[in-house]
Amino acid sequence: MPIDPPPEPPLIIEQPGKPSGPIVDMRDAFARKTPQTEEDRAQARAFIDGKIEMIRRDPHMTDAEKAAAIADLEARR
Amino acid sequence: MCAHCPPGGNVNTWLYITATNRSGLGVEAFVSYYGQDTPHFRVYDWARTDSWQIDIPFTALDNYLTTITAHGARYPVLSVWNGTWSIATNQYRNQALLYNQARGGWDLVYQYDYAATDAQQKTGWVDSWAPIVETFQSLYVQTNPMGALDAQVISSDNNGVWGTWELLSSSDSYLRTDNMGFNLVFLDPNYAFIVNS
Repeated sequence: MPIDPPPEPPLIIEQPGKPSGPIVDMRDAFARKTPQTEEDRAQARAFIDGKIEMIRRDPHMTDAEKAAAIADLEARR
Repeated sequence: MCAHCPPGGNVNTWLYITATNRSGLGVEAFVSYYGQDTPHFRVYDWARTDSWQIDIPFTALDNYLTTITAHGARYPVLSVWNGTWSIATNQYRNQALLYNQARGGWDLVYQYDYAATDAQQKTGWVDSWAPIVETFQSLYVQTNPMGALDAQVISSDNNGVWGTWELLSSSDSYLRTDNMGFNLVFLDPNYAFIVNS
């Protein structure tokens, strides 16, 4: 279901009670300017492999849950 | 996210302070360490095949970094907000924002609109909306303090009405310890934690 953007999160410790200014669009300053490289693809595989290792160590997931999650991630590598 | 620069100790490969928003195709906006190099703020978009979208060193984030006090100690902090929500039928938006400490407001740094079904967002691997220190070594020693402060979550109901921001609590998160050498400095269940080694 389409929904409106979420409200801004309040800053609790940093600036208690201080109203936040409007959201400013800084995407141009942060945007990636170059296409993905082979190094990026290798890092993406390492990133996903890290998630898979984390799942394997997860003491709260069942073996079936781990298998499903790992299969999902392997499909995204 | 609380991130010293550099991480110190024996970190010699990747180490992340990260969180997802528990959407199957959501966006991860996080602090990335590599060895003792300057940490980077990075965005990994799970909805894209070209997933790496932002990679900015802390040296270029002066306006976004600050220092705050928690439990009597000062910690360097980068305030990060990642969101995923439906903008039309089978259309979703991923966003990442950083809090600009210099002007006092959130800056939109990344946005991506894409086609996806509710099922894609809610099934499969969705990870954790609780922040984590994601490890890549078997044992960490003498690292600087790192973690997350003031983790908050908001969600919408089935009618698309947003609730209110809430500090992450023990009812929607749990403490996980992987025995990689990190020790808890403090935990405020479960919206703030700092670890070192």
